[in-house]
Amino acid sequence: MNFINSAPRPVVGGTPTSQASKGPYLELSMYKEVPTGEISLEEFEEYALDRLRVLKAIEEAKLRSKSEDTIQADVETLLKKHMQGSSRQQTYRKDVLSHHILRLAYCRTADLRSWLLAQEALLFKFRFKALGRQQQVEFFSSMGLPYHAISDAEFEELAGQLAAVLNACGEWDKAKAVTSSSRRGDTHGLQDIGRSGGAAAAAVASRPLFYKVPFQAVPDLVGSRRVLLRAGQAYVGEDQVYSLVVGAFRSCLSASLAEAARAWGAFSAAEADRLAPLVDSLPSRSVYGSDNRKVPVGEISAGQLAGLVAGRNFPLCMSVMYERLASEHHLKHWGLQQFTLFLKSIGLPLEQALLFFRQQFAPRTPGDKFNKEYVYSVLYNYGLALNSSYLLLFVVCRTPGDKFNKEYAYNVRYNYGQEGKRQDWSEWSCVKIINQEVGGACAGAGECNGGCPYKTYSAEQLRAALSRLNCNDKVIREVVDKARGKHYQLACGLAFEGITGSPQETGINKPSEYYASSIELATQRAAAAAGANGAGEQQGQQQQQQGQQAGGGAVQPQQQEGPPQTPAGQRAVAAGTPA
Amino acid sequence: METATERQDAKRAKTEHQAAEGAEPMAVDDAVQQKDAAAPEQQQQTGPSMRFLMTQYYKRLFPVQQMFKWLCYGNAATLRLTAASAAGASCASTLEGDIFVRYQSYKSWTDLATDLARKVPSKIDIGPVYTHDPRQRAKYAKDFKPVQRELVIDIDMTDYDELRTCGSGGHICSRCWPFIAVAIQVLDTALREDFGFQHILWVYSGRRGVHCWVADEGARLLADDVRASVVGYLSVIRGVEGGMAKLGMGMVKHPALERAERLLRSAWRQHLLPEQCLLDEPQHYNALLQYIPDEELRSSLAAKWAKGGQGIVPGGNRRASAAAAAAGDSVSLSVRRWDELEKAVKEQASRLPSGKAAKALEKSLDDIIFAYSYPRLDVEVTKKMNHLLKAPFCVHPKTGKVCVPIDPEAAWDFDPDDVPTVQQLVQEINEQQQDAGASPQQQQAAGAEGWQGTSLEPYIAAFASSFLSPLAASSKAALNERAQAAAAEQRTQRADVSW
Repeated sequence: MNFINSAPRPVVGGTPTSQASKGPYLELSMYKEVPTGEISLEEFEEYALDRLRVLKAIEEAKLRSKSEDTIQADVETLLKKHMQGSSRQQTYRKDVLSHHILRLAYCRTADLRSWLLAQEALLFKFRFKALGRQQQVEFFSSMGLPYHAISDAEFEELAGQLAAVLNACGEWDKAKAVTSSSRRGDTHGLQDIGRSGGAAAAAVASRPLFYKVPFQAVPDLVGSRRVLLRAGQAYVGEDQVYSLVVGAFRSCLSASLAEAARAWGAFSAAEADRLAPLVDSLPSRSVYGSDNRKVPVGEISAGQLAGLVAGRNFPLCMSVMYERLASEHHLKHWGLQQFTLFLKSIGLPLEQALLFFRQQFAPRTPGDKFNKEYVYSVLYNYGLALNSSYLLLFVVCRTPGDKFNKEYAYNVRYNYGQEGKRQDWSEWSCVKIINQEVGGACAGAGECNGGCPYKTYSAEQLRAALSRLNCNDKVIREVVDKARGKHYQLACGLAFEGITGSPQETGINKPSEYYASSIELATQRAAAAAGANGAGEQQGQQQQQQGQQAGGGAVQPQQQEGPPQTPAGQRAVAAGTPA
Repeated sequence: METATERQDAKRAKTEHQAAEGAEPMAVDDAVQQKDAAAPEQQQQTGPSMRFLMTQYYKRLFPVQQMFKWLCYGNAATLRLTAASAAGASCASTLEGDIFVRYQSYKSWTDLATDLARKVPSKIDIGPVYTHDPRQRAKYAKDFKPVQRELVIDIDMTDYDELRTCGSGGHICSRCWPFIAVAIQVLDTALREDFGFQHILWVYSGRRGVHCWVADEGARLLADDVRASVVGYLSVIRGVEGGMAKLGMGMVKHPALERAERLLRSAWRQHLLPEQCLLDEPQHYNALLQYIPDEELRSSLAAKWAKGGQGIVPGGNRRASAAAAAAGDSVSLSVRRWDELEKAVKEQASRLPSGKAAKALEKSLDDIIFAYSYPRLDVEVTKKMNHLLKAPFCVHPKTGKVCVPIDPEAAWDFDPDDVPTVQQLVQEINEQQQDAGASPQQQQAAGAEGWQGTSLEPYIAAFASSFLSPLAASSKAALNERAQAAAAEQRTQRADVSW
C-alpha cells in the first residue's frame, strides 16, 4: 500500500491558530485552483466516496424536509465523521481533492452536473454559515464581489424599513421555530429565538452593514421576503451575505463543471486504463459501504424466512408484506419490487428467491403465469444480465425461451443497453419507500403495492398491526403519535424498541438496518445467555482488550495498519486473542 | 402619419435583423384548424358566425404592426424569436377540437398579418425568445433554448371562487372586479417600487382574469429561479386549507406588505365589503369569522348578526345593502358589521391578560383582509420562461371580448362588461366604411389601419403611447449605451496597444 502523501506536510504560514483569524480560510474554499501534487489511487477513491457520503446525507436530509438548523448540526457531524484529516492541512487537502474528483466524476451529463451543483452549493452554504460573523464578512470581502456597503446617509434614510425587514424575518423565524419545535418537542426553537434576538440586539447596538446588490443576485432572500427591495436593489444584511457568497460559488462551480465536461474527452482518453473507469463509476457507486452497519453475513434460505418473520426480525413494512403474500398469494408490482430487493439485501440468493416466490404465488398463480409475470421482476432486481437470465430461466423455471424472449428480452436489453453494464439494484431506502405512491393503504384490498405502513396506515390499522407484533402498548401510542407527525422513520425506530425491548440508537434508513439491528440484538442476547452460563469472565477480558485497543492505537501503531477496522472487526480480533 | 413611421420601423427592424444574423425576427407559436368544407354553409344558416367575425377581425382590425413592434423590441442585435401559439379557430360546432401549432415565427409584420388572416386563430399565445428560429428547432436540438421572456403574471378569478359572493367559475362582473383592481394596484406598485420595473402592461384576458407583462430588458432576461423568487416575494397566500387561506407572513410585516396593507385596507371598506356584501349572509360571514381565533367572540357576533339580518327582509339584505352602497348615502350592512367586528376584537384584545394572545387576536383582522384581498397569483405561469400566455388584442373565443390593456392607474374604473367585442367592432368598421363610401382595399391603400375610428382605437392608442413608445425609447437608449461602451472599450484597447 502506498500512502505517499499521508504524512503531515510542514505548515506554510504559521500555526493553525494564526490562520484562523486571517489569511487563507482552511475551513472553506471556493475551489478555484486545481490542486497539484500526488495522491494514491486508494486515497483518490476513498476521498471521493467520503465526500459523496456527506453530500448524499445532506440531500436526504433536505428531502426529508429537516429544518435548516437540524441540517446545520448534521453537516457538522458529517464533516467530522467523513472529512476530517489528521491535521488542518490534511482536512483542507481532503476537502479540495475530493471536491475536484467529484467535479470530474459528475461533469458528463446535465443531470449529474445539476445534482452536484445543488448538493455542493448546499454544503457550501452550511459550512459558510458555520463560520463566525467576522470570518463570514472577511471571506465575503476577500472574494472581491462588486458589491458595496451602503453609505451612512442611505442607511439613515432606510433605517426604519431595514429594521422592519429584520424584525419581520426574526419574528417569522421565531414563529416557525416555535411551531416546529412544539411539534418535534426538541429545543431548537429556543436556540433560534436566542439567536434572532441576538441579531436584532446587535443591529440596535451599532450600525450594521448592508450591501446593496441587484435583486437577481439573492433570489432565495427575495423569494422569502428577507430583504428590503427598492428599485431593483436588495439590501443584504451582514448575516445574509451567505446568499451572495453561495450565489457566486454556484455560478463559479457551474462554469467549472461545464468546462470539465468539455475536457472530459481528453481526460478519459488519457486515463482510459487508470482513473477514467474509477471516476466514471463514482456516480453510480453505493456510498453505504463499510461505513454503515453490515447486514449479517451469510446466506439465508427460503425456508428460514418464515422463522425470521415469526421471530419479529423484519420491520413492519416487510412483515406486513410477508403476511400479505402468505395470505393472499399476491403482491402488486411495486410491492414485489420493494420486498424482493429487501430479501436480496438480507442475503437471500437468487435461486432461493425464485423458489420462495414460486411457493408463495403457487396457490393463486399458475406456473406459467408466474414465470411470465414475476420471474422477470425477480431477475431484474437481482441485476442479472440477459445471458444469465436466459440460463436461469431454463434451469429454474423452464419457461420456453421464445416466450421470455418475446415478452421481456426487449426490456432487459433496453435496461442493460441503457446502462451499458450490469446494474446491481440496491435495496430501497426508507426515504424512497416513504415517497412511494402506493395508491391507498396496503392494508386495504387484497392488493399490496408496498410503501411505508407508518405513512399509509390509519392509526387504527397501525395499532392493530403493532399489537400483532406484541409491541408494548405504551410505545404503540408514541409510535402512532410520531407517525401522525410524519416522522415515519422515528416511528419505526420506536416500534423496534417496543417490539424488542431495547432502544434502536443508530436510526433506520433502510429496512435492512432494522433487520440487522434486530439480528444483532438477538445474537448478543444469545451470547449473553451463553455467557451467563459460565463464560462471564471471558467476556470481561474481551471488553478490557477492546478498551486497550481503542485507546492504545498510538502506542502500537503496527496494529493500525491495513484497512480501517469496524467495531465489529475489532471485536472479532479481540475475541480471537484469548482463544 | 403614425402608421407610416411605424411601418418604416418595422421595415428597418426587418432589414437590421436580417443583416445581424439572417434569422427570423419573430416566432409565433401558431395553431390552425383545418377549414372544413361544410363551414360556409353553416355560416349562412346562423348568420355571422364567430369564425366569420374572427376572420374579419384578424384581417381588418388586429393591430398587427403594434404587436410586431413590441415583440421585436426594436433591437436588432438581440434575438427576438418570440413564439406564440394560436389555437385552431373554432366555431361553436367544431368537431375536431382545438389544434395547437407551436413554434411559429415571422420575419415581418406583413408576414404575420398574412398568416393571421389565413389561419384565423381562435387564440394567440406568446412564448419566449429562443436561441434559434423556433421553426428550425429540430436542427439545433440541445442548443435550442429559451433566452428571453417577459416576466408575466396571471390572475384568475376562479382563485377567488370561495370568497366571491356574486358568482363563480367563468363569471366576472363589476361586483367582483374590485378583487382584480386591488390586485393590480398592489402588484403594479411592488413591481415598480421594489423591483424597479417600468414597462408594465396590464391586459384584461377577455373573460375572468388579467395578465401582466413586464417587458423591461432586465425582466426579460431573468432566469427561472429568479422568476420563482419574484413570485415568492409577491405572494402571501400559500394555499387554502379547510376553507381558510394559509398566510405566509409573520407578526411583523415586511415593508412591502405594510404598503400592500394600506392599499388593501382602503379597498376593503370602500369596495370589497360593500360591493361583495361579505358580511350580509350567514354562510359568508361564518366563513370570514373562522379567522378569528376567539371562539366566544365568533359565536356572539354570529348570533347577533343572525338576529339582526333576518329581521328585516329574509334573503333581501344583499340587494338592500348594495343599493345603499350605490346610493352612497348610508353605510352598507357589511361595512357596519365589519366596524362592529373590529371594535369587538379590539375590546376583547384589551381584556386579554397576555400581550401575545392580544396581538394574535388583533392580527386576525389583518389576516382576514390579506386572505380576502391580497392578490392570488397563478404562480406556475410566472415561474417558467417557456410558459405560454395569451397575447393582448386577441379575441376570447368564448366571450368575443378583445383582450384590451388596462391602465393600472384607472383599474378601479375598468368595467369588464364594457370592453369592445368582436361583433361590435366588425359592425363598427362596416358602418364606418359604408359611410365613407370607400372599399376596404381603398382604405388600406390610403395607409389607414382598420381599427382607427372604432372603439378599439383608444386601447391601441394607449398601448402605443404608454407602453410601446417608452419601451422603444429605452431599448434605443440601452442600445446606444452598449454601442458607446463597446466603442470606449475599443479606444482603450487601442490606447493600450499604442502604449
